[in-house]
Amino acid sequence: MARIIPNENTWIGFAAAGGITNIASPTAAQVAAAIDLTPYTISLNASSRGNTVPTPSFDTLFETSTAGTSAATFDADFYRDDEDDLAWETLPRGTRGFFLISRFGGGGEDNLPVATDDLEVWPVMITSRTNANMSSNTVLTFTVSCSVNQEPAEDAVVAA
Amino acid sequence: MSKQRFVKITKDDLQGECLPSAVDAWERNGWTVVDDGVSEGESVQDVDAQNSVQPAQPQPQQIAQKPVSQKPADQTKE
Repeated sequence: MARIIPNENTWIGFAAAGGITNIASPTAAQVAAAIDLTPYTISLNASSRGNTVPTPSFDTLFETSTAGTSAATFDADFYRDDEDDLAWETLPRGTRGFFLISRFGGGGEDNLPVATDDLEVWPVMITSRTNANMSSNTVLTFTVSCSVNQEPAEDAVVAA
Repeated sequence: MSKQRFVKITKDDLQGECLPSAVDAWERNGWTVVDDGVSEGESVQDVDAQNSVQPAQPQPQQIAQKPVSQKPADQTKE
């Protein structure tokens, strides 16, 4: 057990719409067929939040609440590349698919998740793909924002 | 309302779909096109509209507190 940084540990992939049949248990072949975006990834924000509904009543001064709905957001920053612009070309606006996140890396080559490895599967649709502001002495990057159109599988396990 | 067209792609025994503008990227990853533009998905324009104009969603707190706040304290004394 150790505290790690994502560099040289995390693996990030993008699977095509229809390329994952069971998000709780994608197969190793489906994961391997995803496009490896790890070398292009700068940062990634896959988060969920829950809402609470207040349920106060006259018989107490304590403001009670109950569980409400929950939602998720997904956005990420990637590098542009003048020789192989794979991330930019894979993620045009309107793209549907699955972001695959192996935070601790998998047992395959270049941290590719293989059977029995943990994985996060985020079903998304790209709602915007925008270049970052151009600035002197700054690497060209872009940002994608996504809608999360299905409850993500944050504790998926890769099947054989 | 325009519909977005998708291209069916395949790799080994797997199938998927992508936007026409992303075909090159998937082909470089070993996928091949099997059917060009046969499926239609959600309208991209609709998605953009949803993002640019955030719909005013009712806040759970407002709903729960509304009956209390609509009745001023002085009215209850009458």
